[in-house]
Amino acid sequence: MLRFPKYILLLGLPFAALSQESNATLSNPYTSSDDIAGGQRAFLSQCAACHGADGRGGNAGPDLSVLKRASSDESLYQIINKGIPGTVMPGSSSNTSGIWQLVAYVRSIAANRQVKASGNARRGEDLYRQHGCARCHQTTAPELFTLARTRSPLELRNSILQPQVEVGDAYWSFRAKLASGATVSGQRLNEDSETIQYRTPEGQLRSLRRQQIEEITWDRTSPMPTYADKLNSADIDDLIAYLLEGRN
Amino acid sequence: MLPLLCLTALFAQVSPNRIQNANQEPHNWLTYNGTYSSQHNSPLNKINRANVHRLRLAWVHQARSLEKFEVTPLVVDGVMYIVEAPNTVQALDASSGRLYWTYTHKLPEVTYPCCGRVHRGLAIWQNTLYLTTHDAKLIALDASTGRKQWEVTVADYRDGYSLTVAPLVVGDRVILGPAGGELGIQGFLAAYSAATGKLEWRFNIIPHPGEAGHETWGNDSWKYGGGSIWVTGSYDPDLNLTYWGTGNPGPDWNPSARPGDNLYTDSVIALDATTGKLKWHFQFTPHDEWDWDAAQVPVLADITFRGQIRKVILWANRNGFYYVLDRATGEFLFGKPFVKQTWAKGLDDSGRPQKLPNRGPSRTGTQTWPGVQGGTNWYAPAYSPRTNLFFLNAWEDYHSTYFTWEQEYEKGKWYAGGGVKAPVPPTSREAIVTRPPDHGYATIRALDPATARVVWEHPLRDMSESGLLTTAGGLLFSGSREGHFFALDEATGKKLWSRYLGGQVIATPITYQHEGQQYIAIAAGNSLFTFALAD
Repeated sequence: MLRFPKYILLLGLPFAALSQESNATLSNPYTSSDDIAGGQRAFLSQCAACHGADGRGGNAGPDLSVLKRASSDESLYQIINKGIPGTVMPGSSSNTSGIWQLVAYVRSIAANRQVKASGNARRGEDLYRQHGCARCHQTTAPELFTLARTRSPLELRNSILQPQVEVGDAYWSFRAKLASGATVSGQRLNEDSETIQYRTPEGQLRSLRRQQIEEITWDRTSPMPTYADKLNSADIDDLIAYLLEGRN
Repeated sequence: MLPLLCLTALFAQVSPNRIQNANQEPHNWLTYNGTYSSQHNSPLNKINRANVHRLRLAWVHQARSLEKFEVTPLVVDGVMYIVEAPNTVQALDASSGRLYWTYTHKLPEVTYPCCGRVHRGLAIWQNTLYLTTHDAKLIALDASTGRKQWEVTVADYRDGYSLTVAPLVVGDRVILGPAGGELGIQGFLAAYSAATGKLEWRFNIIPHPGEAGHETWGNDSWKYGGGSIWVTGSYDPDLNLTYWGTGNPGPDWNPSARPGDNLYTDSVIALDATTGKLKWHFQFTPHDEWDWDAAQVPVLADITFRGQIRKVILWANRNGFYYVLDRATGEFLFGKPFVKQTWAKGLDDSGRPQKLPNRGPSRTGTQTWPGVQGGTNWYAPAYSPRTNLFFLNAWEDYHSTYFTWEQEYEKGKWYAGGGVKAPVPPTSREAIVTRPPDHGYATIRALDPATARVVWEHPLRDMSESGLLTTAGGLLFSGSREGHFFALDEATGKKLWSRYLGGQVIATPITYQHEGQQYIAIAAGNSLFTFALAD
């Protein structure tokens, strides 16, 4: 016997049609502004303690403006309804319409980030190729379309003009003098109490035991040069438009 | 019937007397905390400083559950009993890991745990195991067969109650209380007849109208006051007192909704184990604004304090202060911060914190040390009478930003009245760790129990939610969120042995002995690992 999610039946939708179209996913029937407001109220009481009052991440829950797990409303519904096993994310006790309202509100958090840039994305794509951005950003440097999902146009502009101002801890590099006399360096990828995992400038993956290290110096700056002298303001708008298009 | 009768007759009975004298049979681990004093200290010494480098994997039990694995096993005469979260009990051969039986309590589709469907372990009495459940039931199982003997409903789970605690058996009673401090419960501690499940006494952690302490709740806020129980208490047979740490008041981060001290939240309560009457209490964090449960294991020890041998409780609290209390009277003897804290000027002569202004949650967020997970939390500390050292897992230089907002109580819903942001995830391991150490780190500290002087420490890169075990082999075992499990010299803190287990340790290690072989067991990731000396 075929089994259908309970909410398909609860919504009274013609499930024969759904079952024939196996690729179809349910879209949210509760998307009015009242529904979003209802979802926001429920969010504040049920979700905000972990995900933050604005849904942008908090103590235990990730930033919901960048949904990694829920590509469709239906999958988001499932996550809210059932929770995520093995994590602190519980299933919601809300009823069907309440969960759909939460889906609507969470989608609105993400939608609020969907800002459009004023530049010409096609010209931005040309600039991206012309300046060889991919050479670094598709290898060791942050992947730009992913980065653009969590950054505002202003933040992206600042990063292009003043890359040294902010470099995330995931991109720190180090140079270590070992007890053996050798010196090693690279980009730190992960670490714990006993080891450091890193990528050498040649791209090799290596792991170092802390007890081997005699002296270590950290470089928290970015190797990216400024583009202030290579791109004018309109160029940067175009480049940002291309990145934002890619993220969306 | 004959085979079953034979089985029952052959099976070793865990009498109240055996539990009370658990330190005389260190080859077993008869209660969640090992013994009534909860020192997490074992007299076993076959594994010791000289040979711990030969410690090797003996067996692994891979859980089918993907929930966090927080269990502390029981071991009785070669049989290990564990709970796979949420509510599956298993009996294993303690020397091979092979299963004897398994029992699963079927839960309703929706239950109301605050922080994952976790479970911490079992209690045993005679030939009966006691399982607490997420739908707030107490279930008695035959230890030989895994069959249910009886079940009682402790509370209505639909009101936000859940049970995650390993009960404590004292005499012929099973003592436990409910979790749900973020769901507006009215916390209590209750004792049930171990034989029949009949309720024998109940102490209201949130005092009801007419009960002492009720006046510490303004505006009817007691109705949703929290005060949960989720970590197993201790017991002093000479005083017949049982000691339990209580959870936070609710709503967690909207303290203006609950004027007053909010007794008996964030406290240690000392109850007569026979009657459930309150003998004394000590509240660590009156009118808590940060969610700093006193859900720590009460460590009972007899130490030299200012020249006199005193019967004390040693308590490193989530609020960042370390306390020494007289366990007969509750008298505050000593207190001092053991990690960075920015919320109190200090403690007054009675041990009450002298709060600094504007350190609680606010609309725009208030940054306060320690963070929401506290200076330490529920994972067991340890005390070694050999070295007279108190060991704990501290979260140093760790802060959170605390927010508040108004929230109406709704049955079965989160009722926290605010939220928290912290640079460090509270209970889940990050796959990749690159954040700077100045966001906080865990460190295993050995304190002089009378003065809180740090005798040695073993800092880690990441946080840790691992409990501690000290043994007469001169060893201190612990693990980390990183996935390491290791042995330190209990006298110096020097690391003597370590293994990477690949999953976070969020449990407390135990030791036991069977057929002449000493074992060390720890849950990590979704598996239970057991180690023994290589031949």
